[in-house]
Amino acid sequence: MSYRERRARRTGATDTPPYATESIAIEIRGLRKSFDAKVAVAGIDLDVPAGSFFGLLGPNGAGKTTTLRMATGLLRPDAGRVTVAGLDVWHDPVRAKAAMGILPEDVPLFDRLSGHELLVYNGLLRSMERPVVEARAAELLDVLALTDAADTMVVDYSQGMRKKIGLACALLHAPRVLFLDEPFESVDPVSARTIREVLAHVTDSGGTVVFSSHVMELVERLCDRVAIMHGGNVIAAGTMDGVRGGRPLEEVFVTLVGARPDASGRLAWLSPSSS
Amino acid sequence: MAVAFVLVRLKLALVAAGLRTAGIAGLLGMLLTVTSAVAMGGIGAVLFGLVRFASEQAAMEAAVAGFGVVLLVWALGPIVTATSDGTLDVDRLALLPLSAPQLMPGLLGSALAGFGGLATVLTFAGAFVGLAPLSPLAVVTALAVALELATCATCGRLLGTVISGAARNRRWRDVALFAGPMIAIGTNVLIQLALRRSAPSGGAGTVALEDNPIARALLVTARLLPSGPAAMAAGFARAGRTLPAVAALIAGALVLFAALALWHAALERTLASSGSGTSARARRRGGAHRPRDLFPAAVAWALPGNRVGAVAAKELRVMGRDPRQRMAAMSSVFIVVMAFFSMQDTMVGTPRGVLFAIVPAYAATLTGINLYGFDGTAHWLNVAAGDDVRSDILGKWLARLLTIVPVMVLVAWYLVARAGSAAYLAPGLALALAVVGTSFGLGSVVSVRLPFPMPTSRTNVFSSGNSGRGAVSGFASMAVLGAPAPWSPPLRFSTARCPGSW
Repeated sequence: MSYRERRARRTGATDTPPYATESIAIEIRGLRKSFDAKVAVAGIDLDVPAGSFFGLLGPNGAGKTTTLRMATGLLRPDAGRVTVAGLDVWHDPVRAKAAMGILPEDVPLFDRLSGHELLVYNGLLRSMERPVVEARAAELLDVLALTDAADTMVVDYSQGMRKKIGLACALLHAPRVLFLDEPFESVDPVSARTIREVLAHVTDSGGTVVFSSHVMELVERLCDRVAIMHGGNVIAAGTMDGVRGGRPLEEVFVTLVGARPDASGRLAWLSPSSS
Repeated sequence: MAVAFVLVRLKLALVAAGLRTAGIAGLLGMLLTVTSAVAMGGIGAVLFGLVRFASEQAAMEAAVAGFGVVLLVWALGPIVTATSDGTLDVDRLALLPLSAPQLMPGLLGSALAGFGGLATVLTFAGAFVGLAPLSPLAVVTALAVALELATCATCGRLLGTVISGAARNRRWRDVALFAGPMIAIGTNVLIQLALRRSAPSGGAGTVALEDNPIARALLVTARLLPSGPAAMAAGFARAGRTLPAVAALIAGALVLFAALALWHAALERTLASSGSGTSARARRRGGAHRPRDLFPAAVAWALPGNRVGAVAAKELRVMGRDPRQRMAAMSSVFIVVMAFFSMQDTMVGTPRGVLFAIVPAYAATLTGINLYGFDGTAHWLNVAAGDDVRSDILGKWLARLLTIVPVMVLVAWYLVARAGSAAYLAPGLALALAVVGTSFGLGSVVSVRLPFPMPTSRTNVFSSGNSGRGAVSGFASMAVLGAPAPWSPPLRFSTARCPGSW
């Protein structure tokens, strides 16, 4: 049974769109960004209902990371508007950022701080009370199996540990919306499982999770809503079942994005018998 | 040789690619780099060329010292300046199905095919002009210069390979990043001391090496460097002593051969162990344990429990752990030490000498001209937590203040003790604080308007990938902060009160 199915059983959700009457956690309108002549995001519109587990899919260079960076206030868009939890990210950035947690793809961190120091630093940056920060930091380190490495500098963490401490930073202030860019990339199965469970807990508690990924199986298993980006545009969006239309997600993705030419019958020189 | 040409072309292609993708700032930086290389090479050539008018003994000493300096620049330059040389990235080299002997000619060629190579060739052209006798022995000089060029490139690659291999471990990388510049600074301090002690009073800078034990020791050391034999060959050739010149040339060739053998062994070892390096393991602690506090205990009382305090605490923690920041701090100490030596005779021991307390203040605040540099891309955490630039800058300066003030007070106290008078204590400390305030203001503006991420790589100490932006930012920072400071009221006042001491 998948996470999605287990979650549906726990929450009583059905395959019918469960958020039709719920509020919108993230509203994106006309978002556009170009880098010189290259259009990274070509004026997209997107709604993410509150409480959803939202997957943002797309091939390399589709504009996923640029979209997430603009939606989180880390990259100024050329045009368009983003609201998170009803707050305009670019007109009311402080309150909007207080409502969101972010995990960037390559997780650049102050890696000469220990895991515990990094969490305390992050909490105090957000004007949280010191005792609250300490208590939550200890619990997050415990849940994410980082307690033993609490005093180890982040520079000495493995990639999986970096993702987990980054996730802990994103969760520390109990945000209503989580933005995660490729949270499972380069992560070992054990750490991936821990991250999945934490994210499932967030959505079970009413939070919204948006994450980008290349891994269709993972998105299919975790998400109840999905958007597919290609060439800076959103080419499909909706409930998982609505987008899939009864087919495997990978098949839908390849059809929408455009399949590469068939390699069979070519590259014969790769055969061991050829010299 | 085909591999050699490929690697040389790779180096040139990397330089060209840097030019194409660097943008305006990068182009300016590259232009500055080329100009610096030509200028340094030109200065080296002129200095060596002037040896033509020196005595045989002086020519020998100049050759030994000059060749030694060039060798040290080759060996330590890449570490001190954190310049990038993608052709010596062991991670990439290990992927090629090539043995060390196949790689070595190409790596040597690519070492010379760059701005450093250009400057060195220019310098050694001057060395030939300055040292070659008007006799057939000029052939020995030419061979000695060529030998020195090869020795420089080989020793640079040897040290680079050894460090690249060791630097795969984070702790060793930290040591390498700190030790290299420290050796360079230490050598510089010794040279400065030697020059200072050898300058006769009123002698217009004339150096009397024979009277100076430090200079003599440095010269002896320089003779023992791998560059020594080639330099001596050139010196003997200049003196017309054929046999010693040829013997030194042979010794130089043997040294080069030994360096090549060592480099070969280091390269084989590094290529075989590429990718096997690890970071230090996470420290495991059993049982209940309270993690270390972000706020350093010694200064926790001075740090507010808000964003300003958190930023200050982070800065203090990182300052002690990041080798690049330790290096910056040591550079400030170096400035203070050199200033102290230069003023010892005129200021220290006099009541007004207490004004010297401004020097550590000024030197320390030099670390604040690129406040965001060491944060690099991790600064997104601050932005994501609600971008509060004012609090961040206050926190960064608070951390610096907590390190500067004790040093200032300590220096002032020492100077008062030496002078036996506290008459200038209050003005000295007030001026020092004024210098700090001036530097804080200018440093904040430069840091915000011209931020430059300091080079960082978790795998390769020679990989910075900043394509000249650092040169632009560095020049601008130094110009903005350095230019007005000596004429700022506090420093003007200090200089006026201590004529002849600056």
